[in-house]
Amino acid sequence: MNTGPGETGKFFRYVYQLEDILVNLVVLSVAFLLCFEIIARNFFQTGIKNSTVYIQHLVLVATFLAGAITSRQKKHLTLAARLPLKEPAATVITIIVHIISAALTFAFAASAFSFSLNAFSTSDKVGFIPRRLIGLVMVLGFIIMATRFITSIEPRRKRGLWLLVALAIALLISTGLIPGVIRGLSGQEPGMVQNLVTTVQDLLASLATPLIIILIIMAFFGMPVFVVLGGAGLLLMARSELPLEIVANQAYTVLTDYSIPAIPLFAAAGFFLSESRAGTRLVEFFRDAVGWLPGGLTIVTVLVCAFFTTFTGGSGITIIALGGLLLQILMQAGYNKKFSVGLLTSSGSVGLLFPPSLPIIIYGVTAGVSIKDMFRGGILPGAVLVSVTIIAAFIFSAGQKVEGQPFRWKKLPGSFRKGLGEILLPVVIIGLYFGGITNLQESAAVALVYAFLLETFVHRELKLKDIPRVMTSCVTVFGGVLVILAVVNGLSYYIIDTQLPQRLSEWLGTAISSRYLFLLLLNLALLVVGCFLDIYSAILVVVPLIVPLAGVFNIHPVHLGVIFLANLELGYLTPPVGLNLFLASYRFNEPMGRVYRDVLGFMMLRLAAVLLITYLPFLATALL
Amino acid sequence: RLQAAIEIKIGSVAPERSPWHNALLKLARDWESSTGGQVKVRVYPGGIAGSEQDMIRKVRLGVLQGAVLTNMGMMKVERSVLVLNLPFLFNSDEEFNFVFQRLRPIFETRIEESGFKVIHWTQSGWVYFYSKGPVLNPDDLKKYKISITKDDPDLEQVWKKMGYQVVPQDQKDVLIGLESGMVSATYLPAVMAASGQYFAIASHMLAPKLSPLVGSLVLSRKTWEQIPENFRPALLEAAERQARALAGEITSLEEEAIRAMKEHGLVINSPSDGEMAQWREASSRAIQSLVGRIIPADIYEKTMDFIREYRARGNR
Ligand code: NA
Ligand code: NA
Repeated sequence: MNTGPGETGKFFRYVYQLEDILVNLVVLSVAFLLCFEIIARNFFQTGIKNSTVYIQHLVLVATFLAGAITSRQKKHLTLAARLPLKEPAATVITIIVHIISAALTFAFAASAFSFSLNAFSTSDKVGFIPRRLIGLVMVLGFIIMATRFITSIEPRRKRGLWLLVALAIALLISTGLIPGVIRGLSGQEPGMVQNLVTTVQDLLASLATPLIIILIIMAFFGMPVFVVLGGAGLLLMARSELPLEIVANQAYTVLTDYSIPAIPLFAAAGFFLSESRAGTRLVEFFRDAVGWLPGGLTIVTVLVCAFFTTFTGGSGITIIALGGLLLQILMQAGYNKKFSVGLLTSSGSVGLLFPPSLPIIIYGVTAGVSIKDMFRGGILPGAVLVSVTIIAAFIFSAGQKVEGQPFRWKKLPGSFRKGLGEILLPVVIIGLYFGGITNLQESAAVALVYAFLLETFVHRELKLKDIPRVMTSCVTVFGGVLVILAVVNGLSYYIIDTQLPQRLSEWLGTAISSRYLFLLLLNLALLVVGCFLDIYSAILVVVPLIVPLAGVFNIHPVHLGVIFLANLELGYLTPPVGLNLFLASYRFNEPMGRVYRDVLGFMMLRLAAVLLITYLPFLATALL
Repeated sequence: RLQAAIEIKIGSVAPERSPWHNALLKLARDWESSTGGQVKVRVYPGGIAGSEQDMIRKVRLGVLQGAVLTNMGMMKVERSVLVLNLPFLFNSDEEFNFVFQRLRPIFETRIEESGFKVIHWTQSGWVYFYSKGPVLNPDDLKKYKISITKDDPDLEQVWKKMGYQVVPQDQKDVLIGLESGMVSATYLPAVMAASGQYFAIASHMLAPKLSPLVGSLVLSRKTWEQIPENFRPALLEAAERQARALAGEITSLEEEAIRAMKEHGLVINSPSDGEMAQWREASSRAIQSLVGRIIPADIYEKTMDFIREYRARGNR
């Protein structure tokens, strides 16, 4: 970014360096804390006091630092490449998009401010730091992101004016937060101000719907996804006169969730692998081992992804951790990028139905179904999904000039020895995890430390001074993803608050009598759910609603669970909104529009597979 | 215009169609009818409104107006209720009720100071120890890796100081932890051990009750004060009625759960009198390190006084 000459330029460069160093320190300290925890627990039977809470909040800090850096590098995910416009319309629209993005992000900051003041008691601390203070990290993070929307407006003239306009709009949108801020700061109920606030709130409530439509239009002109979805949530809350602090509260809730630390850690581990020649070593090994089979590498890709997703829980971590590496392998073997991205995106959650995936366990507990039965029931449908993905790969790679490999068995021991470190990585991680030695986040920390030691000290392909660079390149990946997850959770909660899902399920129970129609509607509904809720929220929110309905329509509970998980998995692939699509766009550096196109064929065949699983119940019940 | 209805959104982690949820729905109907529709209740069951800590935040922010909390959640509002969770402190439902009725006003005053109004308390069954192998005395337990709740670092330290191996875990990780061997023992309400199938893996249960499972329904004080004063006694009375009915229902469910688990292979281990004395000794050492630091000393002293008073009346 052009910071201009002179003292200010120098100042900003220092700030940027400070941001980079801080985010590196935070992520590495999470990794080391977790590794110490493993050692302390397994060898000294102690563990670090309060480590869970520290890690949760370090990840919160890392997310907002990473979000700020992502803003600085203008890498927040946008829906599509900017629609072509002629000058001066292009400049005008871009300025408007930036101003509104800034305004909404300032409003998120205001939400976080009132949240920090009101959500915690004063005695609530993380270690010696009051939680209220930690909430201010969110405020600061959003303010920096908002400011950077303004400072990236070209031409530079009038930026001061645009900032004022953004702040004015932000003030209008966040009027509903004023009483909370007054209450939080003074401990007293707002007096006279309340009437003014109510008037503005009524005005905003009537403006909310047109404003949401404007946001959706702006999505097609480069407005970041997190602003569009988070802003829509905020405006919907304003329309229903719900507390706007929900946005910040849900962001805090999702970012301090126990599975979140695994995301930056696996992301960083993946980058250490992809910045070294690990990919080349693995390509050589896989080529020598199975490259001679027709379509050998695509089979390996699908199986490796399935294998990996089984223990990362299908939240798309597979794409972040292995995507870069596998893309390299596929493309070096001669597959084109369209095919490779499509295959990897659709393989990103393909192992979800195999034991002992966490979503299956949580489903079993939530629905009150035997977990062992769920494990058994998932095997055949899981195999169907894997097979269909492999078949799709054969179909869509037909006609591509992929070199057929002779079986060079003499070279195999050599390439195995060279790639042993990388080949052992998943084996070690899975062994530690299934052996009950580490939990998910600790496994991710081990993966990071392992990858770091392997590439830096064994292969010596990375130098210590490379670490900040490698880490910084993964920051925009997890920063962008976590910021979206955080603000979309506000929109999710708005939907929960309306009780719409509950009412829909009650209505379905009375309106429909055909079992097949019910299953079809269930398929559709779950596809939509997959757009908005991550897999764990979806289980918590939706499963209690559909379990009684399944009783009404006489569907086996294990079959229902399999349908549920397979459908959600598909939902993460279905445009326009899907976690795997976002992650793929980031990881493979492709605009969303192109990811849609790449994944479409795979998605259609997967849809067929899901319908197969839905309408052939014996797949789920045969092994019970 | 007419006085608008007061809308009360209540979150609960109890699953839909569970006894807890059904009781809450009944209460919602009672409240609506006894106020002629001026109070409207919407229930968000099954944790869809968030974990207990999240629901407490939501009540503070006005996103929810009330929440059903277990004692572990209530501890985040008012620390002193932790005294009810101390291991092996109470011997029976009757003893617990005797002591609790006397502590209750003290708790409620303190909870109100934090901005919450307690509508009712429920005692729904008891928490027991489950382990993969037999445990009869405190030393047996040292052989196991115990899964404990993850958001209480102070309690974690107490366990560790006593020489136990503990793994703080999210509730949703406990089952996979037991399966993978990361943990080999945990404590759970009997009803949950049965319905969540924990007992299939941790198939040994220690017969003595560990602690009562206490829950409560709270509203934000602000919401409570919005309700016209003339309605309030009827609302509290309806709540009390539901709490009593629920307690009765859960007691029989717990008996049924333990019977069913036993039928499916649960081994129940009864310690000897000597071993029981060892448990009490270990537990009182743990308590000593909590009192004054985590549990207010005055509350603990009062609790012990009430227990002594109950036992002095010839009860056991
Ligand atoms: Na997730
Ligand atoms: Na989707």
